[in-house]
Amino acid sequence: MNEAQIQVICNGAPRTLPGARTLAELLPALTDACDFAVAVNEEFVPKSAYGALRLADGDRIELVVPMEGG
Amino acid sequence: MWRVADVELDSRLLIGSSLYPSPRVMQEAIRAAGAAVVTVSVRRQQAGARGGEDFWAALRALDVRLLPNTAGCHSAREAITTAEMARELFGTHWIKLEVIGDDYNLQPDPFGLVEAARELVAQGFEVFPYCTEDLVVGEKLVAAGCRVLMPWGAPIGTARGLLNPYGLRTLRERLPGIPLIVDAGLGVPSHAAQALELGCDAVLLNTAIAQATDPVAMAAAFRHAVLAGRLAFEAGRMPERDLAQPSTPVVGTPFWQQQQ
Repeated sequence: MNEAQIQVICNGAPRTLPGARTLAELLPALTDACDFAVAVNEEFVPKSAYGALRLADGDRIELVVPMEGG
Repeated sequence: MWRVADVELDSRLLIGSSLYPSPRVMQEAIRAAGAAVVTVSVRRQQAGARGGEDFWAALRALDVRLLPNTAGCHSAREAITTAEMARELFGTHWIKLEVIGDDYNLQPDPFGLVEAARELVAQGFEVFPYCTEDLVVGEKLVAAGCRVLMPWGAPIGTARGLLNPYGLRTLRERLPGIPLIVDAGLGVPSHAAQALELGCDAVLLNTAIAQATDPVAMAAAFRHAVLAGRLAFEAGRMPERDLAQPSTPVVGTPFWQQQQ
């Protein structure tokens, strides 16, 4: 694998992404949703932290949207 | 009007947003129910789908307060992270806390529930815990900072009504200052009326309305049942008796002859 790339799991599926990038920079590749929230490695990541969080190889990303519920 | 979590609500019927035939029927059913609070969830966006956007647009068009849930969580950790995501996504600190302990009957895990409630209350959440009708679990949740309890009537989606009215009555008597919302297991409006009659403050239901043949009509039926049940509770029911007592006056009964 190219060293400049990282392997992450996003919503349960493996994804290859460019390395050394922040979550804010990588999000457009991960979702087209307007309203969403994110957890990385089971920890919630507030929107204010997207710009500072650098994703690493093996990170597990959960990206959730509003859904019906009971 | 009744009060829960520092908010005055004019409806004692809380309603879910799932399982309707369409977003439009959901909208109409919520209006017909007169519900002021609607439950929602967070889920992974489905690949290729504009996940749930029709539903979300339909819901935003209504003037309702949202109560996000942590449905499907099996540990306090999962529930806490889900609640944090929901708070940001829906812009509310209200959370319907679900920590499932058993997949067979979706029974809440009381230990995980108390652990998650304590942490979420510390983070400033208003925690609505989906719990069993167990008194001690209720007391522990209140001690953890919950100001409302949501005991089940029966397991989610079973439509069996109140399986343990005695337990709910005990909760009511022992925790008089805590709003009780019976959540889950109701099937027909009479179940909702019964919950209100025995002193519960409100009911939360989803499937009984959404899966009715006519969800909008059933929503209206539940609205009336909740009103009737609450009115009956406030009116004060007569005591149960073992022996019959005639309601028509006995004195002056025709054809009655004194025994010789």
